[in-house]
Amino acid sequence: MKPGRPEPPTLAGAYALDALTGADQARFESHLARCPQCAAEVSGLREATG
Amino acid sequence: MQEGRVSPWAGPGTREAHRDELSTLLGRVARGDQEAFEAVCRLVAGPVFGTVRRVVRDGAQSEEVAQEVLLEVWQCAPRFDASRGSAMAWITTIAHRRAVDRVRAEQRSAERELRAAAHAVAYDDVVETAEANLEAERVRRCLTSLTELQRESVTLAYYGGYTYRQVAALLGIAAGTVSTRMRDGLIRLRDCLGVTR
Repeated sequence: MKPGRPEPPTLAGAYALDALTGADQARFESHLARCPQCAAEVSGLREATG
Repeated sequence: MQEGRVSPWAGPGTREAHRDELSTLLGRVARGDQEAFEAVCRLVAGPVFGTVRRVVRDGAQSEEVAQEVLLEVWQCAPRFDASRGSAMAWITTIAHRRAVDRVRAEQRSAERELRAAAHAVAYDDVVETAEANLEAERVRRCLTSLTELQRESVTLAYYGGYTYRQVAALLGIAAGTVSTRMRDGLIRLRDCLGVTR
């Protein structure tokens, strides 16, 4: 992780809002695949928007 | 869990779309039941169109995108997992993603500028429907409970279809700050809307 770039978990909100594209999206999705808590967090945040 | 809850963002008509019924119907759709699919379409057509329209804005294009969403529901119903969230949330998530895809695909920079102005008032759109929709009134009230930065970050992404980096550029703040505000804003919104998990 480069300094100054947000750690993947803080991107859960942006992801739930469909606000990640390209490399950001790919990077977060590969993180999601390894992080059940992050996947649960995204589902939880999506209950606010969906 | 949010048994019986329907999307407060999705517009009029959602209140009738009961979670259990929709979830059961999706199970039948997954097995290729066309009658169940027609029933799903009747239940979700309004919320899907409402979700898409708030992002895409143009009526004819919104109808096209809404059709694509229903097709995706038909094709992807086997992937719906009721343990991971409500059927309506699953469908409106598809609708929102398709809507922002449409907006991004056709956007040119000049249109972007205009859209930025249009979406500065995006959350007033929710107010417009408030009289007809108690759930929208709850969303409006809950949006006002967010900090200004949280609200702007959430509404520019949700209604405007902007990526978090674009939101950061529009607001003139760091991308990392925007992503944090989006997450905090959604948590506050969810808590305000009374979604319990």
